Amino acid sequence: MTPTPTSFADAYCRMLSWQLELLWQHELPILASAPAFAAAETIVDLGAGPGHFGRRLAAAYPDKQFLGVEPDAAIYAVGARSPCPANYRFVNAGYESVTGTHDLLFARLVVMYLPDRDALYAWARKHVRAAIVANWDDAESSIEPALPLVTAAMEHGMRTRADELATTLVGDRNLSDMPAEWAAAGFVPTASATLVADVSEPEGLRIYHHAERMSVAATNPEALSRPLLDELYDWSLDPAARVKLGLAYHAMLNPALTSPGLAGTAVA
Amino acid sequence: MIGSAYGHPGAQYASNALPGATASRDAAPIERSPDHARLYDRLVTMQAEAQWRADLGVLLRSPEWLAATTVLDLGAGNGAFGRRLAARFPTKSIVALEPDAALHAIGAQAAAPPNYAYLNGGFEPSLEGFFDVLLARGVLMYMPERRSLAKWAGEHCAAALIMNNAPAASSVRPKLRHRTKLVSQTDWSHPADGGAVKRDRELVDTPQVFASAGFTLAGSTTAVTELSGSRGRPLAHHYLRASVEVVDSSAITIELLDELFEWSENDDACLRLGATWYRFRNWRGPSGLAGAS
Repeated sequence: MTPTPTSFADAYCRMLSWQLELLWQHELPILASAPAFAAAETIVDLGAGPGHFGRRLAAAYPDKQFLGVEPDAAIYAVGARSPCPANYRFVNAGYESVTGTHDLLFARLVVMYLPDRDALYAWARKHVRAAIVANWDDAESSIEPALPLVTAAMEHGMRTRADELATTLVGDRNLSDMPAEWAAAGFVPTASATLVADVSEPEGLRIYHHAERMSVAATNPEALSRPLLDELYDWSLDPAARVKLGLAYHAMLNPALTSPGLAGTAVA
Repeated sequence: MIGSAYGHPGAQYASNALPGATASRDAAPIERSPDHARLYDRLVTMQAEAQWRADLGVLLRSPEWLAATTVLDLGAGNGAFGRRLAARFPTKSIVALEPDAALHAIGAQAAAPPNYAYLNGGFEPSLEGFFDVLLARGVLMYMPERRSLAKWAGEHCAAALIMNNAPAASSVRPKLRHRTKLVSQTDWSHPADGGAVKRDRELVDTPQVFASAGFTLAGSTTAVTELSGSRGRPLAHHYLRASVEVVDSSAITIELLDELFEWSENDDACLRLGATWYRFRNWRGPSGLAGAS
C-alpha cells in the first residue's frame, strides 16, 4: 500500500504520476513521430523526476537504452521504489556527471528549473547528437472555471516555501525562445510542435482533480481544507469544466556530433 | 412486434396523464429536494459510466434485448444509462420513466437521442402500453410491492430484464473504515434512499416474483465491474464519495475525505460493483419472442 504523502517529494511524485496519466497518450505520438527519437538508440532522460515518463517510454521502446538522471535525492528515492525496465537505468545524478556520447537528450518539463541553461547547452554540445525539449506552453493552457482556492493555496505555498521548492517548482516558464537559445549554443533546430491536450472528458477531469490535489499537498499541505477539496470535487463533476494543457516540443540537432542517420532526418 | 405501432417513443403518454398523479403504494413517492437530487444525479451518472461496459455486455448477450424494438426503462434515474443505450441502439424506441420530479428535472436537461423519451412518472398498475422489454435496472429494491409490477409486466411486456445490486459480488479493497461505519449505520428505509429496505437489496426472490406473473427465467448472470488502476481509481474515489453524500452529506468530513484520497492513491485499491441480471420471457404474452426459444 502506498503510504500517505509525508513529504514534498512524495506528494510531488504522485502529482507527476497523475499528470502522466493525462498527458501520455497525447505526448507519445509526438515523440514517436520525431525522427531524432526514432533514430536514437541511447537516450538521456534529463531531470527524470521519479522516472514515471521514462519508464513508460522504455517499456514502449525496448530496443532503446535510457539513462534517467534525477539530481534531487528525495525525488530519486521515491522513484527508486518502483522497478525499472531492463533498458532504463535510473541514477541520482545531474547531467553534469553523464559522460560519453548519446544519441538523444530528452528534456521534458525540466529546462525551466535549471538555473544555468548555458551550462546545459555546453554539456550537450559535447555529449548528445540531438535534443528534444518539451516545456509547458502557458498560452495554450487553460482551466475553466477557475479554481480560486486551489490557485491561492499553491501560490501561497510557492511564495512561502520558495527556498525549499526552488529547484523543483520555481523556474523561468518564459521559454518561448527555446529554439533560438539552442541555436545560439550551436544546435540546429529541426522541428517544433505545439501540443494542446484537451483532457476535459469526465475521466480527464477526475484525474486532473487528483493531480491538483497532490499539487496542493506538495506545495501547501496545510491548505487542504474541506472547502478547497469541495471546490476541486465540484469542479471535476461540472459538465462545463474544461482543461487544456499546452506543451511546446522542440527538436534540435548537434552538428558537432550528428551521425549520418540523425542528420538526414530533419523535418520542417 | 408489440408496441412498434406507437411510433415515436412516449407518443402515447401525455405528461399530464402520467402515473404518479395519483400516488399508489407501488409508486412509492420519492421526493428528493433539488439539492439531494443533484447529489443523486452525480452518483447515478458515475454509476452508469462505471457499469456501462459490463451491463452492455449482458444486454448484447441477451436475445430478448437484441430482438426488442420497444423498451420501457422503469426507474430511469437521471437517464444517464438509458441515453447511452438509446445512442448505442438507435433502432430501439425507449420510453423511460422516473418518478422523482427533481431528479427528472435534472435528467431532462441532458441532450437525449431521438429514440429516448424521458418522462416524469412512476409505475402504477393502470399504466398503459405494450413493450417488448421491461428494463428495470437497480430499481426493484425501491419497490415494496414488486409482485404488482411483475403482474403488470405479465400483461404488458414480452420480456423483462431485471438488474439488481449484488452485494456478495461487490467489495471495496482495502476497506474504508469511515465509510464502512457510515454505511452500516444507515437507515436504508429512509425516504432519502427511496424507501429501500436493506434486507431486500439482494432481492433473491426475483425469479419467484416474476414466475408468479407468468414469466419464465431464461437466464441469469452476475456482471462485475472492477474499478482499479490509475484510470479506475479516480472514478471509484468519486463514486464512493458520492455514495456517502447521497446518504448523509454531513458525513463528508475531512477525515473521510483523507481516507478516500489515500485509498485512491493506493495502487492496489479496487472497487467492485456486482450486479445480478435476470432474463425473463413471458410465454403467455402475445409476442413473437415467445416462439424464438
